[in-house]
Amino acid sequence: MATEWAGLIGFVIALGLALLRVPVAVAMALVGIGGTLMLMDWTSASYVMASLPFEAIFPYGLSVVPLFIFMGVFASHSGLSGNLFRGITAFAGHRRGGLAASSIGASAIFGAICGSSLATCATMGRVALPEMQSRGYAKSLAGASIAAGGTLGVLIPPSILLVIYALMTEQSIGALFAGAMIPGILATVLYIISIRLQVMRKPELAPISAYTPWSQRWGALLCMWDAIVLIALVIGGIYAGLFSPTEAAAVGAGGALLFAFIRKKLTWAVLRSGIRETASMTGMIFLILIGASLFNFFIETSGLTQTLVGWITSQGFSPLAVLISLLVFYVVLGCFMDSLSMILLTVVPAYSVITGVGYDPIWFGVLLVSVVEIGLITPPIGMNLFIIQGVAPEMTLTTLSRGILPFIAADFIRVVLMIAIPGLIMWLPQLLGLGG
Amino acid sequence: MIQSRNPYDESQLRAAVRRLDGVISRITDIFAFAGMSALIGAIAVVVIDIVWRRIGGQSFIGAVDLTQFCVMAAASWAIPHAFSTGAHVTVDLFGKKQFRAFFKIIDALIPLTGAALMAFLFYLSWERAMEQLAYGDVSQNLAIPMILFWVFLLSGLALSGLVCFVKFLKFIVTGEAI
Repeated sequence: MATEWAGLIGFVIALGLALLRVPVAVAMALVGIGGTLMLMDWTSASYVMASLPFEAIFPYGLSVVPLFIFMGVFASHSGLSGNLFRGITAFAGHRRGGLAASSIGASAIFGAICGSSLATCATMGRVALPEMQSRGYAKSLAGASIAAGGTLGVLIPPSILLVIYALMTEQSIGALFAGAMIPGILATVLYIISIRLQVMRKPELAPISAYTPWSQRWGALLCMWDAIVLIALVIGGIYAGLFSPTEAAAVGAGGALLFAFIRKKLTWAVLRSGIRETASMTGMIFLILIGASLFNFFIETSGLTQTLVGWITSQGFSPLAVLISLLVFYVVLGCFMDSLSMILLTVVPAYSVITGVGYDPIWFGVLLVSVVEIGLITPPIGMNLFIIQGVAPEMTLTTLSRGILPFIAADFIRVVLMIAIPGLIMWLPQLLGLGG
Repeated sequence: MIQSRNPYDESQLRAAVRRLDGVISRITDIFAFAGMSALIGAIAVVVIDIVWRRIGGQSFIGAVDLTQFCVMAAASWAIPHAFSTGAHVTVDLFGKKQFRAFFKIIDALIPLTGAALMAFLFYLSWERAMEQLAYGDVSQNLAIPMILFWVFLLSGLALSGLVCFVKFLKFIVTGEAI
């Protein structure tokens, strides 16, 4: 059997195991080990595989992952999200649909502190959902706007998915973060437009709330100071050339801990719970990285990637057709699979194919993360929808699925715009001299 | 987390397995806390390095080595915690009520496979670690023996294997999944 076929069958088996509820990390590692042992003799295979788990954890560049997780977890615990929501609500809350739009705005700003979509969704869900429900917002709009807003956590830098893409494809984290900035803002604007259109069509979805006097607005705005300082430190620090991404993540993590302490939220219980949460997420991600390193070694050894690139080139498909096919594949896969697993399982061949047909790796990285985050809100396996259900068990998946459709439409419009106007992604990295 | 149940109502084997699971959970908690303390140490090292660079105009030698050392401990010791708390990325395509008997078998096999996988990775890594010990490899700036980095990984893999095996035992004896 040709080795490429072994690679392809291995890919299908890994996907099948994942669909059978085997943890994705374990599925990738098992297929990686089994496949490598099939393609190489024991001495060579064991020699290479002995180094892979160590090399999956050791690189200095990976330090950024647990540090950003730590920052996001303690930012959630220190009450930053609540202040952000109240600050924005003071200005926009009195408009029809204003609370839903405020939750999107707060998620976008919180996404610039927390690199995880699930954490953004869970945090904003606890803060904004009770407020919207108490003011008579329709469950579908309230739940869906927070679920959609949560996806901004993974798109707006710092983003753990972008960091992992950068590390796996050896691209600049700074360039990817810069590239994701405008698409992140565009996503926020499109979500708000989507809310506006929904409430114009069905005003009963969102009753008008009381007007907040200007004196209270300034007070609420001032309460957002720590979130703004943290964002300025992390994002500003990277682009002002003060810090590398790892240093920015460490400063952000230290800052989040410090702000929790200043706000008197850093109790022993919060510290313990924050540490546990960070440990669980860190362990989960590094285990997937170990599994992915074994799996990707097998895929590379099988020659599947090169064969795939060669076949696509020889068929004379247009680059756009290749890109669209790949994106459709990700959207479908996203209905069943988590975004991190999707990226780790497929990024090596996908990256080779896309750069092989001439697309820019930074542009593709941002586009890829934009597309896989749509999977977070597409039923039946939309992780953010499950999180909203966890916060508000009375919301059924049917209600949430109905409410999420306009936001998915907004996502598709954004993806089309990003493909049609590559400058939306590439302008900022080029302006900052970070490539492209 | 182990639930407090009356041991007199259960067979001694069940009680013993639950106790063992509780002990292992506590050990993984301790390792996770030690790892996260190391992560806080890494934060301190990086922040001191930045301040030192601003004030003294030069880099704090060994900051990269120390950060890698701390992050290696944090990542390696967080993995058993992820196994212990069931913090895995899984795909739940089928509802919990569908194919119950089939998924019961899968649920039993997952921790067993995890234990075998961790044991295999431990075996491979052990050989490479011993090789590095024999060569006396050290880190770039502070000359930290590389075997210390490997100790973190080896202990993390060993503990993860143990956690999976105890989860398997618990599932077989009590029928309780993670």
